[in-house]
Amino acid sequence: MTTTEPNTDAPMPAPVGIAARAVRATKSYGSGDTRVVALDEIDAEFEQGRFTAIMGPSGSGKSTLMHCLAGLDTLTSGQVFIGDIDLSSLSEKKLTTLRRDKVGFVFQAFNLIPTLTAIENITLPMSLAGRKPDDSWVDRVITTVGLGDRLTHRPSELSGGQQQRVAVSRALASRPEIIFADEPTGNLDTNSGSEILNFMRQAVDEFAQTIVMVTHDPVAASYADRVVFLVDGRIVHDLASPDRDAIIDQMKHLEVGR
Amino acid sequence: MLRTTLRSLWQHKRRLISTTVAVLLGVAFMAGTFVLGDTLDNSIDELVGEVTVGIDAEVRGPELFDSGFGALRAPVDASLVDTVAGVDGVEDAAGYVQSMSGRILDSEGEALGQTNGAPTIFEAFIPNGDLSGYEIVDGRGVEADDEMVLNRGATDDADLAVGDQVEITSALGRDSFTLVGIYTIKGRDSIAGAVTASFTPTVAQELAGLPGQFQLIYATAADGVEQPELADAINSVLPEDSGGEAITGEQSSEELSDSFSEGLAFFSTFLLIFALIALVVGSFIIFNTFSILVAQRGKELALLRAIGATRRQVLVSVLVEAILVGLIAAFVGIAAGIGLAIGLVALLDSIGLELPSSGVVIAPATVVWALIAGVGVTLFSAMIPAWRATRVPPIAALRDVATDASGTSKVRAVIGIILFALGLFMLTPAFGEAPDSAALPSVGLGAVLLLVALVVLGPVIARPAAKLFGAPLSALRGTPGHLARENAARSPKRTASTAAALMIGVALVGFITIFAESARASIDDQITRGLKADLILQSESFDVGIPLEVSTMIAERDDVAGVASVRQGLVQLTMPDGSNSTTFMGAVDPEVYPEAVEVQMAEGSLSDLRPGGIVVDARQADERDIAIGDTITLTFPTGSTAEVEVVALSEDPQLLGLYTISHEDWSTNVPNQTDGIVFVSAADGVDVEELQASIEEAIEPYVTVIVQDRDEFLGSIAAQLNTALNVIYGLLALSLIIALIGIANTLSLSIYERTRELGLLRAVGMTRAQLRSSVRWEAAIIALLGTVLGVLLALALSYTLVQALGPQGFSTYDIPVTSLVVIVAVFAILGVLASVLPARRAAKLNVLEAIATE
Repeated sequence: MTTTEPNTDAPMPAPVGIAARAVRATKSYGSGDTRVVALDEIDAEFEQGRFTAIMGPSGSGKSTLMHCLAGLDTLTSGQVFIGDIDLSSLSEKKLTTLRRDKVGFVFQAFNLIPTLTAIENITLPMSLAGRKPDDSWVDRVITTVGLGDRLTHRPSELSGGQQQRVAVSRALASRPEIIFADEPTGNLDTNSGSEILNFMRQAVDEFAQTIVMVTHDPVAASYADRVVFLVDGRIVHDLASPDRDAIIDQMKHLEVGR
Repeated sequence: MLRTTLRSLWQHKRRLISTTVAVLLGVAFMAGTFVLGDTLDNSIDELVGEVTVGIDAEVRGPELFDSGFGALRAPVDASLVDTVAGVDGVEDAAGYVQSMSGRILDSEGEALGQTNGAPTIFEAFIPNGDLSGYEIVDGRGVEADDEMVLNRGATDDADLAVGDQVEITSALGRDSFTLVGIYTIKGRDSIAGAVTASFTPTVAQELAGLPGQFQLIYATAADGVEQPELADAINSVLPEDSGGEAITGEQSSEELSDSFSEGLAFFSTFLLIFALIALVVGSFIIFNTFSILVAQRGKELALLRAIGATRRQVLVSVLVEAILVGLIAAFVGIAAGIGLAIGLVALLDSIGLELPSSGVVIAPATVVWALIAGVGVTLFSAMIPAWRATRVPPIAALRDVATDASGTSKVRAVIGIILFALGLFMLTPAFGEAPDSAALPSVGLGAVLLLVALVVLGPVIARPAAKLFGAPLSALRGTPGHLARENAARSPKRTASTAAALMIGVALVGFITIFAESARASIDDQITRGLKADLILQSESFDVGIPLEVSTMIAERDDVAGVASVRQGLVQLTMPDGSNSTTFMGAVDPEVYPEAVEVQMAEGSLSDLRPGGIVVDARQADERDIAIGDTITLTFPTGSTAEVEVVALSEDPQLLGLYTISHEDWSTNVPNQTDGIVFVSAADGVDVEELQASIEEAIEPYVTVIVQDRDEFLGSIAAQLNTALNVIYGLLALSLIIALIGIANTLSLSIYERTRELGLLRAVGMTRAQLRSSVRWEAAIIALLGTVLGVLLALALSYTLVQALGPQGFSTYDIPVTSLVVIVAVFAILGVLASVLPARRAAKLNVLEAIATE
């Protein structure tokens, strides 16, 4: 992690390494005739300091891929790496501390602990680790997402958009090697959604944060540097610097292709 | 709709198990008490019926007074036996007299029987087996005054055989008899484990202190004479002045059974109180479970409402669930109760209380009451949650299920405070200038009101209290501690009712602990201050006194400076205002008593006590309006009466007792007197330890007498209190277990509810250990809340009761700080232990399932 300390002054640092990697990653359920393959020998790399979107129809395995990359789920065979660490070799406890220290999460909903205030939610991974948060960094994150006056509020006192902003702040606050976002705008209206996506874009551009986002929304995916399309557990297409129309075209193409 | 209910019940079966157990335990306790009571009752009926089957009529003296354990009757003159025997229709008649004032020694010279087990009875031998129920199985009956016969159980235990010399100790001192026969009673070795030693009527009368008198005369009817006829015939010849009466054998047998049953009923009631406490504690758990289940099923209920279920149907569905839980709890509880009763009967048997084993009695009433309790408690507790279920709006089907984190209404706070104030007010009579026992009912009601007030106020207190108790956690245990604190404060109603169940148990434990400590301190205080004697002699057995020759013997020793003794016995006092009081009264020698014990006097002096006088405890005198110069009439168990004048008022009830007369008056009225306690002062320069050893040796023949120094004496009082305390702890244990099950239950349900949140915590990096720790600390906070409230309640109530009981000799309120700290710590720890399973389940949660969005 120390080698990838983002230089926040540089507008767009060149990718210097791989933040996460899947090698012949396979995930299947059941056996014999009832065997269902969610991930079928996927090889993929996610570069540092880039914003990657994973798209695909439901059942394509995009969420499973993300869960396995993030150490929330285990593969049937193959390997996934965060940096140089092979997740399949880690114990449950080590996986937990890895998620805490090196991974950030933004989920679609239920992102926050209702009994904790906004700021407590933001610093949660660090307080779980017993570390003191880097106050100037946290301040900067909070200022960026514009939460300044809501910090002592509980989630129930925040709007959906504000809650997601807290969730993004939490993911950024511990400066993880990689942030996984699972349909982060799925529950939001268009305005709040684009706000969140802008923050994520900003985090990549200004803080050199690595983000991998699962989404089915072409608009959301268009904020990414790269879109990976998944169908039936396989990567079928890899689109660089996508715009909305290119994504929609590709989606149509995939639908027809099936 | 019923099917939906049953389905839902089946789905929640795991969650309902602990709820069922919470009711079940209380029901089992209750059913067990009933079954045990009925079984013992039945055994006694059977036993009494068998033993008395040959008796057709019984003649007895007039009732003197109620002893508290049945009527105490005057003896009848021995000459009446011949009168009765001469009545037309009487086939045979025999006089009977018994006493329980001694022990027989086994072949090793040790006292036979357990100190507080089945009694030893000295009685008159009745040769006619129809009347006594006895059958000599070895040797012969008693013919001479130096002979005795024993029941087979006793000779077996004592390893005695016909022809042996048997030593006995009694009020008369030590004696020796030849064992001439061994008998069984209707084929049994003993009557409920008792040692029954039979002597000639003359010896039995002497042992009972009733020379020339019998307590009862038994008669059998000639052929063809009915029992009522016989009783009438005997009644018609009984001398007017004897005051006696004849009753039928049937009535006698019934009355005997009833008097035993009365004692048993007292015992059963005592146990039932604890069963009820367990049920009340259980009801909190039920209430909580159903509240949580209804809240969790909000969405399902709303859906039912949305598709057209009426409120009534929703209500019924929840109540049916409650009834089913209650029914299961009741039936399993009955079965467990029967098992409990069987176990207890076996236990009684093993400690020597042998009963006819005609099997356990399961009365229909037992089943009915268990069902009423099981179903009733569950249904009643589920009432409010069920009603709340009907308030779920159909629209809620479209919302997310929310935890009931509702705050507390002002109305609740106001009602709680009013109840609290009312409760406090009811306690005030205990603090008057001269509180008397009339204050007790008000104090009791006040205590209940305070308890109810705390239950009502619980949700109001819960949030701030949880935050307070949890404050150090946030600092010490980091995020898991912080979350524990927030979660405990999260839904105050839930936390409060979980804590309330524990509060009740802890309040009772704390209350009796403080109360016993205050009793001990009161006694200790007075004795330490007033006791000057070096050694104290007592009898190990409550019913066996110290023969007078013991104190005479010790007084003659050179190494003893003085001996003072207290004689004690049951006496009825008729007060100046005409009211009667039966009490255990003492008698002292005012000349020597002050040398052994320094009693503070309120008015007059102990030396004013002379024959015809009585010293009364000042607070008793106050309560009963007795003043110096008043006359009190004493009625002794022998039937004699005496009028005594109040000559002084004393201060130290532990040192002198409530009513005290002189030795002279005592010996005039109680022929077979013994000393209850003997105080010995060592002569100057004599080593107390050596003196104790020497006296120990000298009193060896009086097997039940023990000699203690001052520390041992105080220690033995504390030990007695501890024994009583331990019995009550044992009986309260069940309620506490139920309360702990409640903590586990609430946590399980809460964790189920927080699945999502826990999944998120695990996803962002909370380790399993941290999660378990968080659940544990939440349990600790809830347990601490219940325990602290319980202890506070205990402090308030015990303080009040000790004040109210001032007249009964409570002079000191003593808080056993260590014990209370231990209680708080133990229950906080037990609360944590109760959380082990829920915590483990929470930690094992599948993160992916928990966070998956549908």
